[in-house]
Amino acid sequence: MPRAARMPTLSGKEMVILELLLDGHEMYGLELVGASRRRLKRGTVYVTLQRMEEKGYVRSRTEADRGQGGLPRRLYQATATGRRLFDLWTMVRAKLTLETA
Amino acid sequence: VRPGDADRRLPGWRLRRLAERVCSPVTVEHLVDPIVADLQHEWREASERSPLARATARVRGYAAFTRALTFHLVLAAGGHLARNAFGATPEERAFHQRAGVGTLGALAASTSIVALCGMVMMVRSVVFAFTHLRGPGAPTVADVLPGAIAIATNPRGLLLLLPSLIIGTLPPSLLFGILHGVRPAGNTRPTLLPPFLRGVAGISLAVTLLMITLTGWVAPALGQRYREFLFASIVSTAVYPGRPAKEARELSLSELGARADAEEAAGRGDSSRSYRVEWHRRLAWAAAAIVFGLVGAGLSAQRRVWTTRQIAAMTLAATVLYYCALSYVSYVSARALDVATSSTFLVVWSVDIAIGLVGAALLLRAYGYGRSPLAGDSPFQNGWR
Repeated sequence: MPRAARMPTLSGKEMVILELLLDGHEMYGLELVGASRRRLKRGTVYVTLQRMEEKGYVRSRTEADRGQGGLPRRLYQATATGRRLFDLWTMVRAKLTLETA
Repeated sequence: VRPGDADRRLPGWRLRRLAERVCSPVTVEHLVDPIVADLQHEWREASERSPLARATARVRGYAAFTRALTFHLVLAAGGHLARNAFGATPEERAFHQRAGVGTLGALAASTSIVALCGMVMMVRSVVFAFTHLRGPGAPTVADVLPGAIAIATNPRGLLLLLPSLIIGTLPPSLLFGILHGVRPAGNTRPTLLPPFLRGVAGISLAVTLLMITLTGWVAPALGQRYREFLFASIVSTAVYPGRPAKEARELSLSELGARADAEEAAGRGDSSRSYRVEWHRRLAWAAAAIVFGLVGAGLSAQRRVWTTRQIAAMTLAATVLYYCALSYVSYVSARALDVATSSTFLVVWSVDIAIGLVGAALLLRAYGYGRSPLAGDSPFQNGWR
């Protein structure tokens, strides 16, 4: 019997990342940590981003070589799926909050 | 990716090389490289400020790398275990199915037999107690037999006793299940092992954890309730109010440890030692699942196919040998030996160690000394990283 499609889920950290990437511009991991006001940790942000990329919520690319040497940074951007899911989740959360208030 | 000459002074290349050895290329690309890139950028920016800022950037980068890799490995290993709980290959899954059915079948049969024996002994004890009451008009066997049978076969009482019975029968049932699981139905040639060895280890570990929970907390609590049930059934609580006090077997593992410490502090060495022996005895019996698993793997690895009758006979022999030896060393450790000249731990666990060594020797004998049965089956080759 084929498995039923799993309901997409968003953890708290994933919500924060999508919120920061919502306006469409690209950010790298350390930039996300700085902008999150301590809601994201430097040691876990890339693990979360990797999982989100596997789930199709964000996409990434390496930045162009600036000729400074060293490894290029990886820049992340929210996908349409990620943005839709964020909107849906925000709406659900707002409704639940109203009902329980 | 290898550093160019201009990049060599940047930190992080060694970390990256290390990660390449233990992580998949995808993990290196999406997890390790971004962290090393951040470290190198921060370090370069800090270089323009001060040596202290540079050192701080390096330490923060290394710490982030360690945390990220640990977090990733824990998540990846957990996911791998969850996906492959019943085996990564069809062979492993078939083994788990046969071993599971064999273990549960043996558990049901042996628990029923032990329960039946227990009921007979309980009837005997109650009849003996009542027929030996002093005074005129002491009841006869015929008078008390119906009441004794009702107490011994009471469903509530039997349910309360079930965890204690399972503790006694689970490790031998596991041995039977493993021997049964390794032998495919109708097969006339021995089939082993590396594919099954991981399965044997997994199932033994799972049973051990279950045993620790049962023997440490569940069985003592329900055992005490059973004693209260017996007390209320036999003695008139209106005349003798109160409850029977807990004995060592009705104390949880944590209570046993605390009681042993308290007795030792009060200078009662003998009493303290008996609590410690009980503590070790329970854990040793829980670890019997691993010991029996090892013996099962060792017997399975022999160049012959065991029949069901032989499997049952070997299981029974191993159980009797193990239980008698454990009871004997527990008695000796608690009563006869001086705590100053012997380690309670070593004495009580000596049976597990000795029988475990027999299992390991059987396994090594089958594979030839110096050749690992795990060769070519490293978890690192199975995509869990």
